[in-house]
Amino acid sequence: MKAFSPIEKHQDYTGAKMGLWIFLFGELLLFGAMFILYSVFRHWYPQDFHNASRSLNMITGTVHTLVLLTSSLTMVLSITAIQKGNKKLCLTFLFLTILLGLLFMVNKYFEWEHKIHNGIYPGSEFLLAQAKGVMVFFSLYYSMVGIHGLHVIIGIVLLSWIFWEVLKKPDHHSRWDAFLHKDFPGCHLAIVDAQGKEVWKGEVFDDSVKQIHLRVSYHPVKERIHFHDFISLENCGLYWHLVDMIWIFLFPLYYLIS
Amino acid sequence: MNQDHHPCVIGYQTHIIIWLGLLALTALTIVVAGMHLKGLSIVVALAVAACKCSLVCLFFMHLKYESFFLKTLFLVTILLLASFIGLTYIDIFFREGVMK
Repeated sequence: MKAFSPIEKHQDYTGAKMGLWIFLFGELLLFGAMFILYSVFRHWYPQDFHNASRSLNMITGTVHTLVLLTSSLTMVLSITAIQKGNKKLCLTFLFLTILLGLLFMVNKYFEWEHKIHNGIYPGSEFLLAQAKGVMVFFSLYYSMVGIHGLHVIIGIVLLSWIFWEVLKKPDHHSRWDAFLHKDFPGCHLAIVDAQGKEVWKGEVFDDSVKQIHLRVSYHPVKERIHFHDFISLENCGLYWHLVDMIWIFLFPLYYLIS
Repeated sequence: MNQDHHPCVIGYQTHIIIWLGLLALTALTIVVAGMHLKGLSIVVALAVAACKCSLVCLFFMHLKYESFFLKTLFLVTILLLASFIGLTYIDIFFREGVMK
């Protein structure tokens, strides 16, 4: 019988990771530009920024920070878990990360709801009556924190997708196909161990067998999980950490300056 | 398929220690903000934020274990951003009649 050859999937670990990092550099510049705007306006209106920041609750900001930092931890732990071949633990940590992301958004919703209820939103009558620096502060606050929140939502969607992927995937599949139908009748398939002893034996083929597809599924144990397999998980993690990093700067600049 | 550099596996413990460090730095930044250091407080806040970012980048994002090429790319981006900030500030400090 002709040698069977496994069908290989093309994977480029380094390329995939590099691509995501380059995307993250773009994100850094996007937020960097907004931080420049913030710093210039803060330089021009220090007193107004100081006063406006008073209406932001430091405790809410701290809770946001703790939630995001912890979600970063659970994210990285889920990658460690998959590296060690523990799929269940990986999924648990991933689920916790998604949960913490949602908690962040719920927290954010209540914060903004409260603010908008008090008439503090771009273009509101209350804000238009304030000093120019206060208006600028809240415009920047809503755009920067808003775009950050958008990133959190995108991150949650990505993490949910990868959760599903890990849940159904890391069993690694290989498939061998053979179409030598003339040789098939009268033989049978068998699995033999290293000593040549048959571990499993199938039924003898008759004329109806024309082709054989052999599909091997590996269970996600440590020896079977290659680092190529979880590049998407790693990339989602990188994105999630970037969101965390941006919040690390947003927190002291908006919540801690009064 | 599996021959190129394998990213090293970093244990759960290391990450938890980094996380505790991040929490400690968060506490530090809150305490310093409450001390009314005037001009110095923003410097401290940014320095602490930069430390936290470095921890996240190096350990959580595994940059410490990445290739030299990727590290260089990262540094170039940071320098690019720093030059944008620097050039903007040159305008703000040294140019007459910048719109205010």
